[in-house]
Amino acid sequence: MRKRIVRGFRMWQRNVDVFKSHYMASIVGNIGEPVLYLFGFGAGLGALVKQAGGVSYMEFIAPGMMAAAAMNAAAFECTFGAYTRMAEQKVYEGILATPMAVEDIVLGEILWGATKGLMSSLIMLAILVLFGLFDKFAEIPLIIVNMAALGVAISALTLCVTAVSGSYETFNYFFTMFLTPMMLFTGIYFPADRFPSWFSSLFLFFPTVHAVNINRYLFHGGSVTMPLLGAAFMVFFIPFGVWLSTRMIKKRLIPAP
Amino acid sequence: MAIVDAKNLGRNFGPFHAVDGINFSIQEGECYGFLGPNGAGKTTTVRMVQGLLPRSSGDLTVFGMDIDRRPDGIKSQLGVVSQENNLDRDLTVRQNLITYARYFDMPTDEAKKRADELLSFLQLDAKKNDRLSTISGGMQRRLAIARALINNPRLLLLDEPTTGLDPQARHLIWRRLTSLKKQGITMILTTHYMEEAERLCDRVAIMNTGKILIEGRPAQLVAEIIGEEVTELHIDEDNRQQALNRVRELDVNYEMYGDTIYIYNNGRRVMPSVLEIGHRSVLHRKATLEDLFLKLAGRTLVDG
Repeated sequence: MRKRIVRGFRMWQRNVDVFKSHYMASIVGNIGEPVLYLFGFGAGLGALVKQAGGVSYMEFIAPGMMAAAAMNAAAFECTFGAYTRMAEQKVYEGILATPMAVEDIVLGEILWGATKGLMSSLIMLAILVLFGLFDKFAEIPLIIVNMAALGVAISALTLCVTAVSGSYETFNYFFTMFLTPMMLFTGIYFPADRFPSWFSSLFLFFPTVHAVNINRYLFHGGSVTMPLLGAAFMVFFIPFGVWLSTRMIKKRLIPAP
Repeated sequence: MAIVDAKNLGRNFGPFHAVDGINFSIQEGECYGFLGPNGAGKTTTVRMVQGLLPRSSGDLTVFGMDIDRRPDGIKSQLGVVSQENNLDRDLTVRQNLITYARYFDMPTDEAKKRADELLSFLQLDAKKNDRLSTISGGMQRRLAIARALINNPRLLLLDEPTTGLDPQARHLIWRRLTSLKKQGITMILTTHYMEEAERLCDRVAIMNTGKILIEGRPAQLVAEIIGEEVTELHIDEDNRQQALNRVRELDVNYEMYGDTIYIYNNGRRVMPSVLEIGHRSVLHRKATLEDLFLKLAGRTLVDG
């Protein structure tokens, strides 16, 4: 177990080394996007929508946008990024000639996806502080845990998609059918109770809505039922996701007879 | 004890038998070559030894261990140069080695020292801080060899190490592999360059459609099956049938490919009669592994 974590960390470290050589571009994107979104949605839509969920519109979207930042960064890293390493550059194949196993590679990729998710969401948080949209500093440790958990869950989920992708185009299915709906219907930009309950319930099987609920609770308080349910979901979903993504990537890299 | 021991080793992809029950045993310090056309099963064999493909049937031990049960123990003593370039293109030349050393749990200081030694051994010092996209194919292949040596492997797997390289780059790699051989590293090499196999391999196995057709020392195989010498008779198209009839009368072993008739051994005895056959040019030379390969090709090998 200790060996697995050390080796998973080696894969993570490889990604960090690469990231160091072009971190500026990445960080500019990470800062630029949220500012544009906050300004666009907050100022534009916020002028029309005076209040949502008992707070101003800007305040309403703040916790969800943090989750969205984590989700997007992790999803991009573990689809396009991981696919490039696996299928285009054959980096995994090179690594498999060493004592590293598929399990270690997958663990490292998930940790890296979560790291990028966490970085994006923390940059978002810093901007929220600058805009005066966040002042619950005591909640930051729990927010970090929540965003890291979302990053891990999304990374594992998206690696499953990567495992069965034949080309970059395949990711269009995933982004259109899963990621965009998870942006729109999980209470990030508007309360999820606007939609028929059978429809909203579908999203309870995926991690995003839970992370949004937890974040919203940590930002604004309110009922603790859904956030607790969300935490329980994550506790089950994460090990399952890690197991499934490892299994699927292994099936692709080391084809059984 | 054999370094690699395969008994009745097989691998299927669905109904297709990529490797079909082969036996071989490789001793410490030996360079063993798998020859054969594309699709013969060479790469599949190497990937099974490397633990990248589980076998469908038979037994396979590396350093006396079963690759399915002890992948770690085996892979830590293995160096692999794959056919397809899988260097880390996001890293520089030197970073490739240092990052790779980390996968073997090598401490950073040692990794740096070893990386610099290998860069100089493979004449890559001048390029050590370059990105991979800026160095030539030959240099990339040399880097792949350096990377495979980072853990001081006991066994080196080389899957077509010089395919696609210019003669100069190829010779440099051959010299380095020869010097590694002298250091006592066991090697498995796949190639379709017969010259490469003749220079480097102590023993070769010629494969086709997943089976080993023959196995042995290159010089011995050539001597047994082809003989000492070969006469090549280059003929004109319109003279073909006539020339072939004349060769048949001479009672010699021969094969015909395109516009060339290869007359095996005893060339000297029949040389006067051969020269009387109408021809464009004639070449009398020492028999090589290529003759053996072509002779087998004429009978059984099919390009997959």
